[in-house]
Amino acid sequence: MESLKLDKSERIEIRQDRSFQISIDSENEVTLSLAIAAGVRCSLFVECLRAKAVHLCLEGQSESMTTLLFWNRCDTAMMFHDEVHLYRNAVLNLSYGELAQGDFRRKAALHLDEEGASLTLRTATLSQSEKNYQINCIHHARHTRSEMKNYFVLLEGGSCRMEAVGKIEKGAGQSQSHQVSRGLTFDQQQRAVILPQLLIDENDVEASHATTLGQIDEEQMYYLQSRGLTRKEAMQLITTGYLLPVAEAIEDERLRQRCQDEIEMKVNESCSM
Amino acid sequence: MIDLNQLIIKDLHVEIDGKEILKGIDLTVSEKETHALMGPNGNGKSTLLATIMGHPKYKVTQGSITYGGQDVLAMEVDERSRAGLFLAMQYPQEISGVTNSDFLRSAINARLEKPISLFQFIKEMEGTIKELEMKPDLAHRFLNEGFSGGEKKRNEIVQMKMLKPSFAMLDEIDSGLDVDALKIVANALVKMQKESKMGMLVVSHYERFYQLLKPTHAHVLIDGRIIVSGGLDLVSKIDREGYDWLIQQYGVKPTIENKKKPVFSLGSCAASKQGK
Repeated sequence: MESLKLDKSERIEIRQDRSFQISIDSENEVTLSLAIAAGVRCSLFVECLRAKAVHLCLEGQSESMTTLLFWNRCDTAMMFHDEVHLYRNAVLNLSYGELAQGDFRRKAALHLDEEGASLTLRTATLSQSEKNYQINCIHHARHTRSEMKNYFVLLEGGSCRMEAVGKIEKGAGQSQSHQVSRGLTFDQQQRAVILPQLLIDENDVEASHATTLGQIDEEQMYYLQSRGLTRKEAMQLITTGYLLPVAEAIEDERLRQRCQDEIEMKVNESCSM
Repeated sequence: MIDLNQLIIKDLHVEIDGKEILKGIDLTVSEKETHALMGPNGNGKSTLLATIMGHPKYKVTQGSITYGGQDVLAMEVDERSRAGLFLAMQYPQEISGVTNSDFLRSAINARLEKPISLFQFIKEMEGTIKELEMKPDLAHRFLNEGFSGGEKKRNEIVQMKMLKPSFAMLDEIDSGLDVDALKIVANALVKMQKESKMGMLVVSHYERFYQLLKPTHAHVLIDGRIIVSGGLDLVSKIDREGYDWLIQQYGVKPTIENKKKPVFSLGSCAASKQGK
């Protein structure tokens, strides 16, 4: 797998099938523009080690297929601003892994511009600070599809706010917009606000949202404990289960394992109460 | 000599939310024995199994449970499991994001000094999956998520085979299984028992399942008490005649199960509010 270090803004054009890793490490604001050419398949892992703010612009041309996992490793306060455009039959599998300690705000405008465009978004957030997402998924054309899956684990002192909007514009008939959010909290003091919205301006569409938020299910704990796991081990396993699937987006086995190990380590560190 | 695999229950009283469900149970299960536990629904069979395993909802108000001389009631749920007890549940939980193999490896390692090698684990898991005729991708699927009723039940037996308990309880493990699957499960259980000294306490409503398992003892539990015990012939008689003769003969009143209404919520949805 190729890897690339980035300390300033850059535009990368991807014209052939590729799989690579980009590490952002800069003292300034960084804009990363990714242009994926028509018909190209690519798999990207973008990690942010340091930056003041990051703007991610991604264009997926027709029939392109992109998998992108954005992994935040900044333990300072961060601001992310993403803009995505997907054209005819372009497919994007976008994941955000947010396990860092700092406060963080992410605004994402995800446009499904042309017929057949399809987006799957998965977020995994381990929060011990303030995490704020504002995600807009806008369907501009017919037969477009979006699906958001948001998973949060709120630790002591953590809060989370997520506004997730699925918007189907007039003329974008036969489109689908779905979202699911699941939050796990460890005490009743924690604040989590999940605001799913569906703005539908067309007939003949499919749209849904589902949200659950709560403490660990005691029946699940009992089930795992009845197999010999201690309370702590059971809690760690259930918590890890909220976050681990985000790493499945990574094709490279070693990198995937590294991310999974990182999730397990962070969960185990924080679930040792 | 103490039978290290003997479960002894004495005068067990159990309540849930202040209501007494078990009203004095005495039962001894020794190694290699298979006990069938029968009785109308809602009379305490599942409560007994869950209490032995340590479900937090059930409160023991009187009596004792010991296993190999150890005080079971003083142990946490996970300690009971590591002591050799296993409960194949009627409604196994679904746990998203946790694969069967990750879960089982953790559970196996919980009872070992030195963790099982990956090679050894995969070999055992593959063998067990094959024996129970489940799909090979089972190991990588999330724990019970999206499983059919029958798959969940068979997965309980997969776990049981991997964890090798010395005392196993089965709570209506045969419901949801078709005739072929029932045979596969029963054969696996019989084989396990032959290879070890495992004792079993089995709740089922089906004579067919008992005929395959060949219980050494049978008990009928009505209104929180064991009113009669016997052998396989008792199972057959109940299969033919039901429980009415027992109820008349012993003058007991069975608890009539209240059918709980399922909890159902549509929640609130922005669209429906605006639509009104």
